[in-house]
Amino acid sequence: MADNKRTANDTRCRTPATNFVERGDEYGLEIEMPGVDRANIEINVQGRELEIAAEKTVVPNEWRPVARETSHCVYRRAFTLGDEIDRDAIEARYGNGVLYLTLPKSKAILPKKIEIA
Amino acid sequence: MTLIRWKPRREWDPFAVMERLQDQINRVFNTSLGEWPSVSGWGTALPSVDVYHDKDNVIVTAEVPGLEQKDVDLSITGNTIALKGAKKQASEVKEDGLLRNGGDYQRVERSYGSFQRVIDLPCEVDAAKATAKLENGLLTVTLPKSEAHKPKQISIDVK
Repeated sequence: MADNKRTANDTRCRTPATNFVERGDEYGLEIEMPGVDRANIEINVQGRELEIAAEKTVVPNEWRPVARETSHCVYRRAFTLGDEIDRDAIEARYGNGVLYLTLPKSKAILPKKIEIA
Repeated sequence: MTLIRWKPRREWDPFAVMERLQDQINRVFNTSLGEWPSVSGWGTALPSVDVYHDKDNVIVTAEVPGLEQKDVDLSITGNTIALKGAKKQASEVKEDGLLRNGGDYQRVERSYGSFQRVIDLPCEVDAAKATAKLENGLLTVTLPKSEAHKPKQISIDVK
């Protein structure tokens, strides 16, 4: 699975920190995107590309900034999925500002025991 | 004939320049996060903090993805607010029922560890009435301004 970080062309774009895990028969992604409402998360799989885009919730207008270390942005990251991933079985969960994706490996490549009849 | 005091030239010390540079660098490292809004802070998983204000409140937000209420400690002392906590490596999301632990981490970009930040508040606040909420990995602390610091309208008498 290759990781394409696409931030050069987009202004106000942030690449979220991501952990890649391999757990036996599946892969997992933990993507940190604090300040995002789950309704604003878009996860798209197109061919071999898995793309995630999520816009941070806008800060209320009445709030006047005193000092800011963050800025409004869109979290964007794309990955190239290998053939061993079952693209139809990808699941996503979101909680506490972290998006958890599970990418099960397709059954075809899992080790299979063949019994002798 | 005028007598001129004899001032022997001081020997050029090649190390003096280096020592001065070292001194300056030490000073930079010693003032940890001296810039506004943070008075001080340390930690590997240091959250980014924003400070806002509106008519009635000072609002402080901190990005703390992956942390739950029990992992964060907030306290107010005078005109500063201290944010402390520890971020542990465990993939657990109770809200959505996903519990997956372990596995081989091929790549770890998220940061973990304990952290502490002390943030300067722009004005006096009423600590007793402060509220905080943690949503979507964003901690929002609302601190009502103390009466003396709220903007007051002054009416102009036209005579």
